[in-house]
Amino acid sequence: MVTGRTDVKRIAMLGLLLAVAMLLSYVEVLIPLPIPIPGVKLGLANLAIVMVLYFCGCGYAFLVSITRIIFTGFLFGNLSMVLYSLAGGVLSLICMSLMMYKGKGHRETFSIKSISLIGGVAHNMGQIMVAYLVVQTYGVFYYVPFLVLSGAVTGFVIGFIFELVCPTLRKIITDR
Amino acid sequence: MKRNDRWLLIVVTVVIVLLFVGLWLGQSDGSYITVYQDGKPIGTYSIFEDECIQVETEDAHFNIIVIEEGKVRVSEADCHDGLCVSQQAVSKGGESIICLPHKLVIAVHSDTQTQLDAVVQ
Repeated sequence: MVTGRTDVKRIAMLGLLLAVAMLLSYVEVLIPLPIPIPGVKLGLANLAIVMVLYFCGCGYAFLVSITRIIFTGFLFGNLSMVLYSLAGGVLSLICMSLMMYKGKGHRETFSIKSISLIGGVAHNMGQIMVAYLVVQTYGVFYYVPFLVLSGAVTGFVIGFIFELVCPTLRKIITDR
Repeated sequence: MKRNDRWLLIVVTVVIVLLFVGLWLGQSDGSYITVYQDGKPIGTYSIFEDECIQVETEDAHFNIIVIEEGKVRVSEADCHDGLCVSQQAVSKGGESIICLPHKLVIAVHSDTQTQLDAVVQ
């Protein structure tokens, strides 16, 4: 019965965080960025994905992330958008999951700011790889420095925001 | 801030600086552009001759490429993000303007060989 209850709670929370992620991706479309480089974006949805990763683990993070991308892609975008986001999202989650690895005595190796920073960079690298496959021209790699920088900055900011809301969130989630 | 974080931040900063230095060092004045559509080169133009090129995609969308004063930019396009139009004009070898929705790449090349030839002549 106890496991049953936690499962229900977990499902509810995953659904909630999926909704948050979708909402954030929608809000992001509304915010115009003054940087005219393809692929540069705030990555707000990553905030919800980092929450799932931190509180529920890698497997659920993949589940929520992929569902989020497919849902929002077809709601507000198109197939090519789904492909770009999928490559970015999966690569970013692989890197972030690896960095969640806990070392001796279950101590976290990296803080969430660093994990999110690498996630942002990896996301943009995944997208640039798809862009290369799409246009088949080395010209896309000209954007690598800009995309690494923007991924690092936005990822770090997302991680910073997460650390701000983390104590409150932990209370809500662990409180029974 | 954990110790690992500090190292990671240092490494990331160094990598970013190196990437930009590499980009900056690799730049030389461009001499011609190649326009690629769907990965295939569809035209090569000198950037010293002012020109206006209209490129159409298979499904009747367009980009208008303008070459003036040794610089290239996209003056008009009907792609949905408009990023190619809002990008600054490029002129250095290795720089490029990309319109992902139309699978269009405008790459600037610097041909040191032709520059030398020009000097010799």
